[in-house]
Amino acid sequence: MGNRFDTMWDLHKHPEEAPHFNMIQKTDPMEGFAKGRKERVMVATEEEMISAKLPPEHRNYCAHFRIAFEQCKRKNYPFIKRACRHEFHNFANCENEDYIIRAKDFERERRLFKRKLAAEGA
Amino acid sequence: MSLVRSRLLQISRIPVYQVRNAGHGYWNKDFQPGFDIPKTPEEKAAVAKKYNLLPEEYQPHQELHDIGLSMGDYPKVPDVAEVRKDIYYPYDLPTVRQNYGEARSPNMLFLTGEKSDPNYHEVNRWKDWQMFLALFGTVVFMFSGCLVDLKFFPPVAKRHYYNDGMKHYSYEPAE
Repeated sequence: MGNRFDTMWDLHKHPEEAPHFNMIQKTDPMEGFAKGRKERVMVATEEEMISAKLPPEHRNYCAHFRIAFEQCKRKNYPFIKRACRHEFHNFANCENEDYIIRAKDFERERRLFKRKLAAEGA
Repeated sequence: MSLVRSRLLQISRIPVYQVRNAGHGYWNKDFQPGFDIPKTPEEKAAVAKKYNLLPEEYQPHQELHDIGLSMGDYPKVPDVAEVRKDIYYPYDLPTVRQNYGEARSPNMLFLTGEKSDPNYHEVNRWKDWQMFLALFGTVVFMFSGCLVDLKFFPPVAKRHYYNDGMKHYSYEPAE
């Protein structure tokens, strides 16, 4: 909660500079990573997603798990809960990790912004 | 003889108190106000004495008389509720804050202590304002937040898509 209010207040005070929920990253993503970072890999192909009729908002880095889960649901209906638990587990883990990466991105942006503010103030 | 007389009086129920205090009689007709409004100063003085008032204090309900709702010679008395009276005055009847034989308003039944105070809002103006401001000030304060453009959102970056023209990295080190 405090995190959210801090973010809100930062954005209110510095509407241009502060990290925003829809902001494109302004900092260098490799800054501070001596060993570098792994680039995210898109497993599902465009054709697979089109044939699965995935809407655009679901065509993220977990699309292949989502497609597998949907296929399993189609195949095993109505015993989805029991038959598709592994598919669902994979998919939920992937989404969770995706969310964690995004949260880390935001926190990194915020801390770099704070550091910049402190450097300007000093 | 006096004993015999008092016994006779007890038996015969002769009202011996009816002239003890003007305005306080024994029979209902003794409580009734006089029919006519007094005109001359002597009449007024007599009526004022009947109601235990000073002659200069006495004032009849002339306007009620004029519209046909006459109160007779009954005097105008200010409507002061019991809760508004001075509690430190040595009343004859402290429980009701009255003196014996005191002239009373025709609205006296609405002014007794257990009734609500008709002068409450005249006396407690600041209290009324306090309540008003506490209610509507809170509402105004709450809605005043709408005037400021504050964005409350989970501290999470934009969604990663493979086709949004950017390079996305995880937080694992590259080999």
